[in-house]
Amino acid sequence: MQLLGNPARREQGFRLLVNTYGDRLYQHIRRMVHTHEDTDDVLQNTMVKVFRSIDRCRGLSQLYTWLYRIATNESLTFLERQKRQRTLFADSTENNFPEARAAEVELDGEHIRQRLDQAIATLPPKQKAVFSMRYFEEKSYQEMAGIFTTSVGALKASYHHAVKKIESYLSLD
Amino acid sequence: MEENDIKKELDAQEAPLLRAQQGKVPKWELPSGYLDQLADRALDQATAKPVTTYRRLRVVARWAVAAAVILVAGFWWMSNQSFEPTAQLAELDWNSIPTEDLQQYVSDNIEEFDLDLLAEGALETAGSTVVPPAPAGDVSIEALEEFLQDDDEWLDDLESEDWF
Repeated sequence: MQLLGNPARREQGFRLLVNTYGDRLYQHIRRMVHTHEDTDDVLQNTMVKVFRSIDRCRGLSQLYTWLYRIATNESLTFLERQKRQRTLFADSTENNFPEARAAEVELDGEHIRQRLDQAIATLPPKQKAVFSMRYFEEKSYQEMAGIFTTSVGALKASYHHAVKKIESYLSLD
Repeated sequence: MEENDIKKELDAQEAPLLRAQQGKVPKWELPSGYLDQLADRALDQATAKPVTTYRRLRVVARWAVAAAVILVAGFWWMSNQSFEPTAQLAELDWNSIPTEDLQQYVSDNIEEFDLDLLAEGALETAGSTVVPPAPAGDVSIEALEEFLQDDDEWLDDLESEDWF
């Protein structure tokens, strides 16, 4: 944070931030948008916003929450735009998604990931984000409430619905 | 601690498939050097703000020009449309207007009419038999004075009805 606060060393601080949190943010975004290309675009936009508005972040303790909030909002915005375009051009890329990814799957671990990825793709955008943070990143509801700026009760309800849908999808195998 | 809570939560929700996979799903591997490249691209984009603003302005200018062209075309079209009522007026059925109304209008607005045109119209309506034939060939001053003195009663004989 000291590096980021110093204009002369801001670039150095930013590179350190990308290397420290980039991988976790990549995983989080990819669970929501599903392909590497889309994840790359959303993550780059996230990092641009982070660099431009780093002065708004107050202290290291809030940095992680702040980064996740920007990444989540960027992902949700991307999904909304994608949904509008899909409606406009009547092109359901979501339906093509399992076939497009099938060639990548070889190992058991990847098979599990692919099935979960397909199941998550059926969720509404906000449920995707809530499920991803709770199930994969094991965040507490309290921490998630800071990221989503919503109540713990609403997050629990959202996660509960997501679990039901995904379990139902996985049981179709 | 949180992981145990999540597993208990999945048990309570009767989600055995998700419970069995929790914590075992592999991460996506990032390509070698990906994060360094990402930092480079993000820095390039973040510091290229003036160019972005200029491009946006150019886009706005194009839209403004397009809007202006549409407005001008719209006004031109509207001004052409305004001639339509005149055309409709020209197609008015004059026969449906009573003669008394026309006479009343002319007498009320007589100053607005060109009297030469009015007389010419009256002659056409009344027929050529009313008008005495003009002297043929070269006309001398004396002959013309005689013609005007002797034959101007036809003007007095015209009734106002003959004018229409």
